[in-house]
Amino acid sequence: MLFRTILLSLVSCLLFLSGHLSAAPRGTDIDFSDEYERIFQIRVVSPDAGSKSSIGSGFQVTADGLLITNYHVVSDYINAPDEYVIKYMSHDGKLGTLELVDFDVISDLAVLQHPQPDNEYFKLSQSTPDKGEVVYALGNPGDWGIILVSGPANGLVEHSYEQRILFSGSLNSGMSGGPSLNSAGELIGVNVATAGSQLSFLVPSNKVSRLLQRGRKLSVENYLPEIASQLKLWQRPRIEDLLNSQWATEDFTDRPLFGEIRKDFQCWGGTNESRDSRTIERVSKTCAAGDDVYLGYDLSAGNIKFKFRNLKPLKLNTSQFARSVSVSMVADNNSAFKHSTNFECQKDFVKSAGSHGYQRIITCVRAFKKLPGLYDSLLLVQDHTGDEVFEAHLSLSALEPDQIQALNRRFIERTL
Amino acid sequence: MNYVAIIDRRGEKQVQKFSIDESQSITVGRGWNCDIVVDDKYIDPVHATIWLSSSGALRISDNGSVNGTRVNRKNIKGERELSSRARISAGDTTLQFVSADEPVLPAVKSSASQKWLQKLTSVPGFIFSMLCAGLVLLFSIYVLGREEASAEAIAEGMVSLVLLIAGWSMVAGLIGKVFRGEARFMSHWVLLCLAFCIAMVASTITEVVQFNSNSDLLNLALDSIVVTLLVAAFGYITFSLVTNLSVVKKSALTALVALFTVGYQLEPLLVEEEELWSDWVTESQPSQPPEWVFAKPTTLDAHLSASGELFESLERRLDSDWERLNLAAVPQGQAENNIRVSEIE
Repeated sequence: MLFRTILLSLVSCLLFLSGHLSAAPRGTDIDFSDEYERIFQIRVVSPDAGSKSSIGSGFQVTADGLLITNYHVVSDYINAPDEYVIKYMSHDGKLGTLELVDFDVISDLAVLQHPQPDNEYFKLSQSTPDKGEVVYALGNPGDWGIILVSGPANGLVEHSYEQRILFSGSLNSGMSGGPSLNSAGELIGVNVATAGSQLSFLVPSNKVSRLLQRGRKLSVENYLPEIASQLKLWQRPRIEDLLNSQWATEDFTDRPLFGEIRKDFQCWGGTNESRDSRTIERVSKTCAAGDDVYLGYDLSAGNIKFKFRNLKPLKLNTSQFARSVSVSMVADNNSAFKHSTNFECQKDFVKSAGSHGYQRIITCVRAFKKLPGLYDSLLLVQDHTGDEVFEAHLSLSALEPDQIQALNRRFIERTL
Repeated sequence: MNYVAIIDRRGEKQVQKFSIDESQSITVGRGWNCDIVVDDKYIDPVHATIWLSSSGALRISDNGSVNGTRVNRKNIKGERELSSRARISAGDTTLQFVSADEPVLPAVKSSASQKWLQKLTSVPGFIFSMLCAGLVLLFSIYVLGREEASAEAIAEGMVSLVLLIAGWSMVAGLIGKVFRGEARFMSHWVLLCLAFCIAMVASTITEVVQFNSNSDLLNLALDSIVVTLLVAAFGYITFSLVTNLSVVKKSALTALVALFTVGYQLEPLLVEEEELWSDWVTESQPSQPPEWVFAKPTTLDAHLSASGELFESLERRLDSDWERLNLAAVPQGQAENNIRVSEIE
């Protein structure tokens, strides 16, 4: 009797296990062969050069033939529409030209019009995937063909103002703009970026539906003004929220300063203690917001970064020390001369009543040439106390003058 | 008639007086019994003969010398008439015959710089210039330096400065010996020491001016002007020391050197702007207390209101910039592009 019970429980146990074993790799059970055929390779082609300048993936999301891809896949075209055309290649090698309909530069999405819509297209999921839920990313990385990468979704990325799904799978560069699906074959996100092995990011599908709801067609001459207005619309609440919040006090050396002032900021710190030949003792802390908006291969915007440094001379006299703490700043976002003016600076000495030493404040701004009303700013605050120098640096990108002025004022008041 | 023979042997000038009458001749050569004696091993004992023709002009003939005789760079065969101030070359020597009746110009007043150089090319001048260079070197290490002033760093600086000055004096001296027959090592030595001192003082003053200026272009121009002026002044004095060239030729050479200096300074401006990034704010600027650079401290509010004006200034710059106009040209370009594309397909 006991033997039978044991045998039965053993058998049921085995059955239970085998059932689970067969259910565990659910991906292999799901037939995605139709979905494979609905992936397009998106190419930005220079007719003059006769070859592609960038490739990515794309997929149809509406019955009337609207395709979704990443903004960065077609950014060469958006920045120079008279130099490029957008082309597609379907799974069976068919080629054709696509038309840009709309884009969302912040979420990194673009909508394209396919001339001959297919009856089959991807349906958008209304929910975000649970943590641990397996999702399937499709794309065309390079010219080898369409591939599928599966892995768990890990919810939304924490240190980011913009929503991104963290996906544990290896996205490759050509897979940008491809769809990520749940096991029901519904679109939960769009492949967008990778940060190394098994660490990839997806744009949630609600951003896609919001972009499609606009239901508009941008004209070519409106591309650049549209980028500017999208940046402004995104920055307004992002910066207002920062200005309205208390920046929680965190000590840096002996000063009451601040650090991760919002969830999207991350800080790192370091010293040069390990260097034997150092002449100055240096302690530093750098904090940056996670969002950097890609606008083109030589243009990015939207970063917020600040840095504190405390410097103490070890082997230098007063003059040598002061001179070695020279003033030079480099922008933290890429921009070439064709996109931005040079920086113009206001350099001043400030002397506060109580201090022995002196303070320097340097504010530098440059304007975006083709995005009217937007500026990058660099601020440097130095406090020379006689035997030490404290330095605070704030770097802002793609903001309007009032926002730059308000953030700079707050930063100086909190650091000096 | 009375004449003066000006004998120039590689820059060493010597003058001999002689008288000559019609139908009389005189000899020129290395031999002691010649009327005009020239100490040059490439000249024959009796090298040439000179006489006064019936027209009153001097004539010359070569006495079959080993190395020949040239008048105004042309070899003479037989005899030849000498125009006034004709240059007779024989061996390493140049001779000119000047009539004693020709009026002699009053003395040229020596320039202040020549007087200074003469004064400085002496033992006290030498010590003064060395002292000046040494002090300036120490100033640059202790006050303008950004590194620790260790004993080794100072010794290294001193040794390399002395090597540089000595090396330059040797080279310039040798060039002078060849072109002018005079080495003047000490003049070069003193000149370079003083140039080093003046350059350091000039760069310190320039730095203060640049610190207070808010224009990168002005700062670049100032750098260029100061460096070019220093190079030109040093170049002119050095050319005067090593050559016998006229003022015009020396000025032309100096202008050439200055042009190279300007070209070298302006070279970064010639790089196509589109290729560059606009990420650099400023060339690294040293930190100095406000008193050192004659700057007046202001308040935070004043700074913020002044930086508010930067936006307007950038806008004005953009309005005058053709880049903005470029935007309007896009649709037209696109239309052309569409035609091209359909042709390809």
